[in-house]
Amino acid sequence: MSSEPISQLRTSEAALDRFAASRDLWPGGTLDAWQGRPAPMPACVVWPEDATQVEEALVQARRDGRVVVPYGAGSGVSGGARGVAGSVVLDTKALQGIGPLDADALTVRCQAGVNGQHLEDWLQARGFTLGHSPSSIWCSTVGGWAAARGAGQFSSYYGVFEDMVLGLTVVTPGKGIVEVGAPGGAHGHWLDQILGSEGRLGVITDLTLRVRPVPSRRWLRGYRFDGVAAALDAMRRLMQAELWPSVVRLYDPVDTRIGGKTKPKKEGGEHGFVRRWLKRVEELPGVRRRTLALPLGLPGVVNHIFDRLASGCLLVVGFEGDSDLVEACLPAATDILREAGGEDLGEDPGRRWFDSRHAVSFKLMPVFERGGFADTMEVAAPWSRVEGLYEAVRAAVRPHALVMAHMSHVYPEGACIYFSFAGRGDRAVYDRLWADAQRAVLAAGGTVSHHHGVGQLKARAASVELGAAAAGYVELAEELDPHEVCNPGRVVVDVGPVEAPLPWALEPRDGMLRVSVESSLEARRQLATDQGVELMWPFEDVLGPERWVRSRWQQPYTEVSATVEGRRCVLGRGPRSASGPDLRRWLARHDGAVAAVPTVPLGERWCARAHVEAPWRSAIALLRTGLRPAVLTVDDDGALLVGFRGPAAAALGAVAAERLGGEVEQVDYAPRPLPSGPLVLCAPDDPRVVAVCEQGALRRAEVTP
Amino acid sequence: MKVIERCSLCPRLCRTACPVATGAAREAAVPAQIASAVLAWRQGRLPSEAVRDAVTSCVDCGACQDLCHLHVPLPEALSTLRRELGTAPPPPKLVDPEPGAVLLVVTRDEESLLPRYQEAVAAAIGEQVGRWRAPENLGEGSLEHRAARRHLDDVRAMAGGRRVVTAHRGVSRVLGLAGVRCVELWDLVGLTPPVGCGDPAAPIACCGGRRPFARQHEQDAARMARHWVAREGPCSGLDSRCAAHLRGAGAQATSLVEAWLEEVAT
Repeated sequence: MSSEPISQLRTSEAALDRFAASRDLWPGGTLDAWQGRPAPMPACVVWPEDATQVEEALVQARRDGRVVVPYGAGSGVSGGARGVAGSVVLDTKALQGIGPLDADALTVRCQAGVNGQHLEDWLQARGFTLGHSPSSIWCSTVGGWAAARGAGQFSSYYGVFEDMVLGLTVVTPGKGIVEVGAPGGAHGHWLDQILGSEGRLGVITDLTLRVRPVPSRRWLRGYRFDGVAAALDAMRRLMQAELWPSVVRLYDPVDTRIGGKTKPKKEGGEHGFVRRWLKRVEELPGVRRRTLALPLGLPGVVNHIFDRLASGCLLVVGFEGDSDLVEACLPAATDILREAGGEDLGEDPGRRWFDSRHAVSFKLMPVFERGGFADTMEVAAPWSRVEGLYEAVRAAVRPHALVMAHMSHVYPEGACIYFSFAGRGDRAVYDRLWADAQRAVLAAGGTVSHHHGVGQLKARAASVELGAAAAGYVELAEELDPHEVCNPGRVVVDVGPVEAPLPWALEPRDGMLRVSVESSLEARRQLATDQGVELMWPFEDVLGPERWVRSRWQQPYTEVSATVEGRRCVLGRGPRSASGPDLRRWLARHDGAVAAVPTVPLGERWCARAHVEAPWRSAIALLRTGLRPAVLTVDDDGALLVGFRGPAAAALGAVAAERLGGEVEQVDYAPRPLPSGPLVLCAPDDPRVVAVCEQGALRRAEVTP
Repeated sequence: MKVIERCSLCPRLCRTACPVATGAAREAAVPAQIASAVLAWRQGRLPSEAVRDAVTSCVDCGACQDLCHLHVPLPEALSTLRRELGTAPPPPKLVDPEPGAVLLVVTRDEESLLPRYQEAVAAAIGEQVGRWRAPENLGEGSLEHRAARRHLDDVRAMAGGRRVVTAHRGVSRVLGLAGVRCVELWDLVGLTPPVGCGDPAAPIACCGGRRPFARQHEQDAARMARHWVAREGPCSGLDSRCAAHLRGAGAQATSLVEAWLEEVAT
């Protein structure tokens, strides 16, 4: 840094350090580097060791007129940590602390620069897991997961990363060091926007995260389906049955074919004659760099060939957690899969996927080496639009590249599609492909980003998707970083006035109901009854409580639409709404706000009253086994009321009854309102307890007039 | 070149295994980033000073190759580069060993344990044991120097066909390359081999005490030691040099030899 150096802050202006911090893993940047176009070089790299040093670095950068690019492990694939010429790269990896672990509250404190796998190893050595397992876990940091809103391979059980974040410390140029969310943070309403802000609002330094005990049982199995439509139907039914599988992972026919995923691995296949011969040819001078140039230069032909060769697709399904709970869910889950046309392929495909789940990242570089480029794109939509979105994106990409897809993050209300493509050409070809693909996503009603962040690559498309709601983000950015010191040009850019299309019609299979944000619980219940469904989470208020005082699987709403400055906005086009920060709560405060809330079909129910000594304490204990009851409250007589829905309701109820012990009397199922509004954690024997979440008992906050 | 190209295109998954990248928190020390720097240097985009800095940031523990699904032999490629660039220090001047049927190599970190160490080994073997002082761990850090071959010949000549006992992985490596009959203390007295210094089973494969890295990247080596101490707490059963390095960072660290001598004494 040019002016007086900051005492104690480790700084380097060495060419090597600046070079290493100049490029993240955006494949466009890799293509540039490979074709000899270097990334813009930063002016220096700094390694703060605590929030105070981060603050000092931001102050000094502002004084020097430089921008700051936060850099963890640089694993972002959207250009969020891409170099900016003359910038200060703030490397977070010296923020290395882990702990304390609170085994009672199931939380861990962790600094932002900790490598993901190192945190998981640390937790597992103590009998816990974060449950967040992205394929980048070896090459990403915890702060990066928060900044770009990552999602792991077991997200359908453990949740996506923001479901695990209870609170964080962020250092902002405008407000200094700020505690956000729990415990005790005064700026809880900022949490949704700081998660996913990719360093634009400040630098995340410390996080409080939810943890779970290491699962005692893991069940994985493969199923073959004739086509994507049948498999998607099975996935939807599985997710809407409240069974909470840990893995629901569908490979489309091309991906299934290329990966050979439904066939047992051939013994000695690696050493087959043809492979050996091809490897030798590749070693000839000049051959390796051109091996894929011809096939990838004819994407239309190659796509056609693979379409003809492909037949059937593989669905990997997994359950994990408490052994009794896994056993309770399996009969219902396997029935659903069988009835939907799934052919049971046994444990092998699931085991193989699990064993090689981090290997996918090693598969991209051989494509570059051989004269092509490879990239991935993750989008999402409600169930009724998933297939249309899948076809639309394939049609848009096929003229440019070989395309395949898998669906690996699923929710009761929809799914993410993860496209992989390989093409040939320079940045112009690559950029055209992305522009066409993103246009197709928006036209098909999907969200342009699910868990890879927005960065620079998707900033334009994400800003179109956010439309006038981007004002919520800009508003906060002006407060937290008025001089645009932190990572400018990422996530949200100016795209001019945008009016969102009318919200797409929801179908019964989407498992959602659109309601006014102002509507009462009674009115919403009536609406649900009229449509023959039940509200999944009957929160008193449509928006429910803040993220850190509800259980991670209780998502109050998906889509939110409203009018901002006279223009219609629709956020949450797909589950999770990860095109940048989550602005849905902000949008819900605007005119005519409507939210899509999750519903469940009517069907099997189980409910019981348990006469136990400390009912709220017992309720917390139930949640910590991994049970996810639809009803969990204490009635007027002081009895614990527990209820389950769906095809495994009775089996799960039996497990709950056994765990509770004492006198358990089965009663008619009757959903109870879930408290909203400002809730705070309290002691389980506090007389003011109104609900529980994974982290403990909750009471209403005393609001000062 | 193929190795360097392949690693420079990789998503840098090896960072999770690399003790330097982790402990020193230095992006430029990530093995795949070192490969990128080498490629950029070959393309004329980085100065040679930078690439010398990069290739000497590797402690040659092999953890990156063990983790890599493609098993790309980057450590070997970097070793070759270090030879080409002449980054290794010259071999130290060897000291004549004492007379004895068996020689016990004593490194600088082990000298404070004498004469107990020498007596305990003699008692365990039942033969007269001569001491062989080993400056710079018998030249462990010089194995990539162009004079290494001649140095190894000198080591062999000085050993003179005698059995040599050591409790040091680096010394053991030098003796092995010199073709000297080497007996490792842990095998001799039935102990678990020391952790660290390239042991893939160790929680962190290197604490930064390894030569010549510890000399060339003194601050990074100190950071690595502090990181190890913070994550692992008190450590025991270490190589003597690791124990000394960690003690320098404030850790409670016990070497394998110290623990053994304690056991022998009681």
